[in-house]
Amino acid sequence: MKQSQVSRAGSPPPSRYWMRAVSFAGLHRILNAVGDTSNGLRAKELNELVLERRVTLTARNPRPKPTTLYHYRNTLLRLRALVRDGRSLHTNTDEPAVRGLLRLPAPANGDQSLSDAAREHFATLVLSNDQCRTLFFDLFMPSDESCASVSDFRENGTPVSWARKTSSGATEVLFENETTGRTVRHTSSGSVPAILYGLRYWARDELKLIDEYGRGVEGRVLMFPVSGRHSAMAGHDSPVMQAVRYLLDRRNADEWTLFSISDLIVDYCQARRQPRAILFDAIDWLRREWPYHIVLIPTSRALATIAAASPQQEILELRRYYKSSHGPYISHLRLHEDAAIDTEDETRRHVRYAQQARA
Amino acid sequence: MKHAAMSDTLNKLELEFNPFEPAASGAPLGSELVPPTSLAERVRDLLDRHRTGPGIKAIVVVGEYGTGKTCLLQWLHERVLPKRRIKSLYFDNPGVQFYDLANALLRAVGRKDFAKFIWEYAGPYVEVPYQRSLFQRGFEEYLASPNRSKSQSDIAVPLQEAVMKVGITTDEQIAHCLARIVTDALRKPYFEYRDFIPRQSGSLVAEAEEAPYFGAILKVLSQGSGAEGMAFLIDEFEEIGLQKRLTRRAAHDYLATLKRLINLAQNEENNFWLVLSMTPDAYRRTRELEPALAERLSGQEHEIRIEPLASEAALALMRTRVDAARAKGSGRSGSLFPFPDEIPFGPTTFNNPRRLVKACFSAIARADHRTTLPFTSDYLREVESGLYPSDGREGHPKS
Repeated sequence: MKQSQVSRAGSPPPSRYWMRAVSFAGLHRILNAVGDTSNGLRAKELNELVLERRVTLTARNPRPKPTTLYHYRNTLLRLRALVRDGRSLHTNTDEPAVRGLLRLPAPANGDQSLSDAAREHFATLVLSNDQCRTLFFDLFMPSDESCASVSDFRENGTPVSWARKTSSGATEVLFENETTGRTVRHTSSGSVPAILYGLRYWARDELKLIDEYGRGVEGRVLMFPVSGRHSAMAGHDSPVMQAVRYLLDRRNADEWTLFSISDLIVDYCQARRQPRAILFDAIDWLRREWPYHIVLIPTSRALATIAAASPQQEILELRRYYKSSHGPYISHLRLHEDAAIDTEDETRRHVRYAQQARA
Repeated sequence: MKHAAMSDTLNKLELEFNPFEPAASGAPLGSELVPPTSLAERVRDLLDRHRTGPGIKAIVVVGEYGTGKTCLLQWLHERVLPKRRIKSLYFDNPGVQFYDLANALLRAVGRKDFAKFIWEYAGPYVEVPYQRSLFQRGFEEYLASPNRSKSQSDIAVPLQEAVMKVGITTDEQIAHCLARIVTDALRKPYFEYRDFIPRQSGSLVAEAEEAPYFGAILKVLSQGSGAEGMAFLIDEFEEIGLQKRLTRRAAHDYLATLKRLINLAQNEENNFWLVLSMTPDAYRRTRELEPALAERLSGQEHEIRIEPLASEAALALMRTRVDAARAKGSGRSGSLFPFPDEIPFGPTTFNNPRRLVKACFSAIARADHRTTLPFTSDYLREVESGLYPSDGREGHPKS
């Protein structure tokens, strides 16, 4: 195991830990608002503009507080999407990713979703930032070399696990690269939220660079890099249909084949760098197209979260299960030998099954 | 009027009653309970192997909801284990604490009957001559004796010694506890929580002695009923009430109870059998959390995985059910009528016993004088899609 890094309160400058759980759709709206001005804006003017135009930053709070506005502004500055010129803030049009973002319309007010293109531009800005890389993204890399680009991260990154431990009132978060054995410990009140709820949240929920699931033992959670641009692809070779094909191809010779969702997440999502959403969309497709040839096997929620020590951990544990909007948590699925991608054969789709009684 | 119409329909279907249940779960009423042949053979084979061989007498039945775990356990309970002189007790979702099992067990037997078992089993070994006659007069007379309360303290010690002498336990304290169950029988004709929980005032159980105490209880019950062994059949152990979340304490209790039961099943002195039914995920999670436990229970010798119902088994299930409802001398015996020879249900229905039984129930219940016989494919598909719409395939527990 390689030597571990430790960050403690007071050792590195606190300004390293500026990352907060901001909405990138909100960042895009602010960036474009600044881009619409010819001479830039002072911080106070930008705040007034956000409030006047009712630019929403988060889904929860329609009127952001000054602290929230500061963190959004600071994030854009740190990522060098905005630059200072005296007391004014300008968009950094020297940066191609920023130019790309400015060319794209920002999501409408209240819409928290980013387009694939905007997401990739933001991911480029994040991965170009030294602090973001050294604090989080480089840990995923298979060697000591720093992550070179978004595609380098997506293609070469390796799984990293993390676990939170609390002893004597102090919280420690331990990250470990599962391939290289490199570990990093964070114990300070600045580093833990910045990395766990800032960078990790950005990577998982905003930029879709990683996905993660609870492992059920010792509260460990596994993060793994995923490839991007899923929604842009459709049709027969889309990631969803590739996942359907994977499931169909892995059936055994029996009439029914049992799959564990948890194993599929490891064997398909993690190994092929696909987010869990792709696997779940594939299951949705099979349910829609072959409703009488797929059986979803629910589990006891209480037992599924038996190892979780907190509500947050429960949520992470439940990421190992498939769930439709109002259904129970599904641990396994059973797939019938007749299910196929080619659904044009009406006989196979509708006659389904006929059992010949034997004397 | 409605009843008469239903009766007319059943006549037309050549059935005396609807042989399928609307909410299938477990054994049917009025027809023979038989799991598919291959499964029954596998279970019998495992029982034979464990009866003669060393090791844990524990079997885990793994299967999804509705595949027949309950049915298999009830078949073991009603038909297989009694023939092997094993007294079996069936628990459905008993709770996570060891106490819950002991409580369910002793409530099923009753304190008075349990005291009587001890009395009759150990009584002849009481070595005080004047007390021996008291034992010979029988338990009921002892309870009715006006001097009973006076003689309680006199009886307790010799009875405790007799309990040890007959080999129920070698532990003095446990023997004393069992003797107290007899002497307190009339004053307290029931068991309560504190009887099983250490550190409670008046508890019968010493701390960390629950398992040996439980072992002694099993021995009394087994020998008192003339059985060669005892079996616990625990259905859906993982369902642990209906709560969404387990407290850490409950999670600990779940694993601790499981471990204690396995230990009991490993103790050859007890001849104690354990059959647990679990969903695939519950089995997997338990193994993840307790690898040592998993090691002791895993493998072909302890696992029975219930596969989906094969076509022949599904047809056999239907045929057995409708045959049980045929009038004597019916010429239809052995046929599927009123069902056609080709069953058009989708595989999710046809290969799942619970769904199949529910669909068959509905097909018969919805039939009236206009229904074409045998049932047409369109009719049966309509019944199926009414019960299991294609947009909601999740097999909810007990659905």
